[in-house]
Amino acid sequence: MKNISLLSALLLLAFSSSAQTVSNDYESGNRSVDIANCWAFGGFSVSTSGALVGSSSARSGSLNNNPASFWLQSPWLLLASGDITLTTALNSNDGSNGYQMIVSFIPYDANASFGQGTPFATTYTYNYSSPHSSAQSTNFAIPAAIANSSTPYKVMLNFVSLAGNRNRRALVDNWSIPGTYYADPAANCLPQQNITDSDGDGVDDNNDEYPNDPERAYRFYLNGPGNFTSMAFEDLYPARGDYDFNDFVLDMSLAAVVNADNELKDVEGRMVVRALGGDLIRGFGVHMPLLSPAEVASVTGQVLSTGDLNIAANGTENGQSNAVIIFCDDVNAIVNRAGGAFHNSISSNPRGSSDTIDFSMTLVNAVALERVFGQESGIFVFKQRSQEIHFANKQPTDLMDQSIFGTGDDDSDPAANRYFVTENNLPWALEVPMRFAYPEEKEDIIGAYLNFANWAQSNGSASQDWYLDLPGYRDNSKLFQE
Amino acid sequence: MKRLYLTFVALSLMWMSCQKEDQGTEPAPLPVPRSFEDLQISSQFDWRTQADFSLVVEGLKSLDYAPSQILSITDERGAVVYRYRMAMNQDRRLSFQAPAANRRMTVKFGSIEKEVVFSGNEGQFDFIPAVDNSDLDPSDR
Repeated sequence: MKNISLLSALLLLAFSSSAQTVSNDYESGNRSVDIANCWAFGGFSVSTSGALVGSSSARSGSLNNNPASFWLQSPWLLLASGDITLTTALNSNDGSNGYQMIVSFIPYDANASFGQGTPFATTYTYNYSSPHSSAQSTNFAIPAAIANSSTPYKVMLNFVSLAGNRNRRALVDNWSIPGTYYADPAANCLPQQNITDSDGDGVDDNNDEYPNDPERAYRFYLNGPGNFTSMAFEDLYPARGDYDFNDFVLDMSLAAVVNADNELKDVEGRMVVRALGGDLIRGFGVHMPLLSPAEVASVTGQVLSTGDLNIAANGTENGQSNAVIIFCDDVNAIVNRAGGAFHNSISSNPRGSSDTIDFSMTLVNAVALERVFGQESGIFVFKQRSQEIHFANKQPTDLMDQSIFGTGDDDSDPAANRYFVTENNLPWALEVPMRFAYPEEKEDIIGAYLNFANWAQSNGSASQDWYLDLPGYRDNSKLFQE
Repeated sequence: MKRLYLTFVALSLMWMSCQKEDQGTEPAPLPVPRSFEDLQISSQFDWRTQADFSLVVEGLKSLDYAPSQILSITDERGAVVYRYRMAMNQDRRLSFQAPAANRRMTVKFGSIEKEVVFSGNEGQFDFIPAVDNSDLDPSDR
């Protein structure tokens, strides 16, 4: 047992000693890469020209008598005891001997510009010896007063030609500094912050939007915070409609709550029914073919008032092999039709109102985002529960009466995975990635949106922003006036 | 023989002029129909106004310390449409949806921010900053 302890101690020492050196040999060949690693340059490039060791070195411009012109800096480090070593030279010999490298130590000061405080009192000056162009290995002791300190330091090298510009460049290579790397490359290269992870999920509390919940780490909105996506349906399926796309207009905002591994734990949503240009649509929900009902832990916010549907305790609809959530089974329960059967689709009618539905879905175990938000999933509406209307080529739920397929104008062919399109591929639903200014009752969308036809007939490659409110994009006289 | 030669030259000129016209002209858009029903739609058209985008992230392997942060993608409207937590030294191919019209999006990882051009709905991102080289000797820039 004693032997094992001794071995462990020796291994620890070996790792700690190898971990306590920070070095740069400039072999990246690219100072941008070194800057990304928090090494800093003033007037120095990383060049293959005259490389001292390996294939590239740091190389200054022509030195002058201003030490602020040419310098190199290490990242923030926790310095250890020992010597800084490096190799340096000039690019060519000179009769003058007035070339110097000045070594200084800059402490971190949160109140100072770039965090760089007043340099420590001890500095070193290295005088280049002749022949200047020969590689010169040199070393400098880290002052005892700052070695092993908890204050981060940068090591700075300044270069000067006391005789002014004599067209000589400094070359530097193979820095090796006793200490521990302490910069954060994703925080402007400032010193690392102490990490606290209260819930132990591996995410620092400063970056954890749920610091006390190990199953959740952050959240994002699928269409951006505060933005809605509109879903617009025609309701005469399987017959063609009038294509004003105002028979059912739903605005939806969705947020994904994910864990430290970027897996989905919750979905949060807000929905508002904005228009019902008819009274055929009864309810709406979402079909998630890549998720099984048992993977859903709970659903909140559903408006189920008819008692006609068979809903499981976890909020999913029973009788489905895939997860289906019905958000509302009777839109009349959430809509006040002040304008009669046509709710907010005829501008001259009184405006109706609609309740906002805030819902959430929590999963038993977090899953890949694609299983809920992938192309397979989709919002759908229904008349009778068995009469669903989905977006083009989205699969129906198990409760859809599939004998409807192929009737009227519908050209669905389940064997070909073709659903809810006409023979010439026209849909019954459109999604617009913003709050849709939908057409007035009986106004064909083609007349209201002047670039819509170009978008559709180009297979979606042209006029991709047809729905925006830009000059020449819309005929406002054919849109519902909110 | 001379007539044959002239015919050949004339045909060549006609062919060249046709070639030139073909190279400079894109297919004319189909005429705008009077109604939705009359649209001429490809059987492959999916009617999506959003598109699937990919961002290929090249991690910085040389890091002594690779922080983990949330990488965020902001579309041309200024809306953050995707977030993904990762370490700075990891390679990733991120898939997300955004309005199809997007061509340039902003990628942010901590203090690192870059505009990424998407071509064919795919963009490339790395953590290497665009450096101002004005401090360098002109011969070194």
